[in-house]
Amino acid sequence: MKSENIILFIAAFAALSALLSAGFTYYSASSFKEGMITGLASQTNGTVNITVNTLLSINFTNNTINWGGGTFNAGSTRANLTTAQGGTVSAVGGTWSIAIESNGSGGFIIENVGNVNATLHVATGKSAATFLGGTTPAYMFNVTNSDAGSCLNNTGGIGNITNSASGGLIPLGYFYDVNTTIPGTPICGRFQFTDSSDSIRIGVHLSIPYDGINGTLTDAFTVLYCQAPGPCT
Amino acid sequence: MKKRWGFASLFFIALFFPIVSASGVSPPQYSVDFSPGAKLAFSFTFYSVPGSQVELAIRGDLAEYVSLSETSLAGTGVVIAYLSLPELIERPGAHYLAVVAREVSSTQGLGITGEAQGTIVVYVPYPGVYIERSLEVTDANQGEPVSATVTYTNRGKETVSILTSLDISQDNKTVDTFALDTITIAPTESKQVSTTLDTTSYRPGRYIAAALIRYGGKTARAETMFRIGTLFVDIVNHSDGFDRDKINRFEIDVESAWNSRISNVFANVTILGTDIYLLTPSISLKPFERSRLTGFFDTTGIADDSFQAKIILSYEGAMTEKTVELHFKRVVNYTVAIIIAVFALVVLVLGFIILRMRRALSTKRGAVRR
Repeated sequence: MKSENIILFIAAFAALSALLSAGFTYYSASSFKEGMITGLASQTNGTVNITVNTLLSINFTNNTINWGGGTFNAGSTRANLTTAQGGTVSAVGGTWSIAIESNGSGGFIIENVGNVNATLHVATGKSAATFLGGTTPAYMFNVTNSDAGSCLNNTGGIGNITNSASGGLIPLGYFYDVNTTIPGTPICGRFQFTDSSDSIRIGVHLSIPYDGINGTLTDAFTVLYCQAPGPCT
Repeated sequence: MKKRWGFASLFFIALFFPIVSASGVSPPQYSVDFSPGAKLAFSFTFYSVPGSQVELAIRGDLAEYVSLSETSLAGTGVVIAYLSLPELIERPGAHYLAVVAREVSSTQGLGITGEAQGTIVVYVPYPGVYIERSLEVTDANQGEPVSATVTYTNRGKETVSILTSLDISQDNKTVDTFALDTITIAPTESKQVSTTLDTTSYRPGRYIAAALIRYGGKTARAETMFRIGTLFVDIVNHSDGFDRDKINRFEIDVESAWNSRISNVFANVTILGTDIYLLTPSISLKPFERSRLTGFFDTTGIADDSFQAKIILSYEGAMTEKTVELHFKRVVNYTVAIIIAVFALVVLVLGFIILRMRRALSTKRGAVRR
């Protein structure tokens, strides 16, 4: 009982000390602010130097599309494999799996993580003939906005310019044949960096003929990017 | 489903890449004016995933005058591009030189990789007078000042004086006209002329600012859009087509008409004639931002195919009200449809049988008469 009283006394003393310390700290801080900083100001303006570097950077938040292994359905002479926005892919005429993707995004997802707008071009290493082979293969891609308003035309308007002899941009949403010639097909004149509109998706469509190349197929999409407005060289 | 292995093709379309890749370059661009025989150095930092192999290349019509400090990088690194300009470049205008860093892919399959481009723009002056111009006008709220700035760069070989007037219009009607300061620009020089617009008499909405430019006997125009904001959040769209007797998602697209952040925007939706209502969580809207509010409500107890709802948006002490017409999804009753189809089929078959029997009977009678 006696020892409990001692502990109680020590606790009460500690609490009182803490209270006094808090009051003293508050008082000291107030006094310090008001009177303890003295001196003659020789310059009334302060200068802060800060350098903000421009950074052009993109991130592939999904860089895989995987249909897995497969064969043609009985009687089919062709299989059509297409990714689609919303995380689904389809395989018609073959036994390829659907929706086997790292994050179910339905295509390659590209995000502008820099602090400047970018101009984007897309090229592939192979054409439909060299990638798939066979009778009339198709190897195509399309571009859609993952975040609304991410991919703008050169003047910042919504809606791209029809792919023309003048080298305009392809319209969003339509499938186009891949391009193996550097710098590739221009896809976004102004790929925005602002958080709410900085992400696009590249979908892929393959039409595989029965007499095409067998085995593991290999190719890479290359996204060439430079500060907007381009052109990238 | 029965499948046969019609063709012995074993296709394996594997779109694999080793890592989620990210790449970049800083600074992304340099701009220089052509100076005969000048020797210049430009530093680029290329960012890549640690351990990745990056190949460097030079592209562009002046590539022959550039050498790089590195031919490849392992991950992130600095590359210096040494440019030795010739004594003469015949074609005037902008010449683009690209220092390109490409991640090397060592994995099989189909994937995607980035190719970052650091650009050096060399401006070769045009003969005579040539001006590049751009116009920037800030957005503002009603009554606040708007800043308009025209930037000029002389890309020609002659010094030039520039007269600028600024025209403000809304719906193709001129609202204001300003005469800006006259400036003189030497070759390769850049200058700005600015003015501040008093928007007290401007109504909220979108305006077009057009800079009308006169220089060296030529005229040019630069224009841009700007907005005068008012504290208003518009209901631009909403969900429709709901399921009966279920909890349904209700989405409301809203758009700010205010050039400042609006905090605590939420909607209260009441189904008229019932005691059903929903309250959405709050969101914040950036200047002129469009966003979506989401809530849920139970349609149990709503009998009619269409019903009305009152949406009340609350924000910054203000409100926007809208009464909207909502509908249930049309439900196709497959049982009834099948019964009708079967009934129609039976009638058709019976009709066909009766017709055949009549024909057979009349043929038989004819034979008996003969």
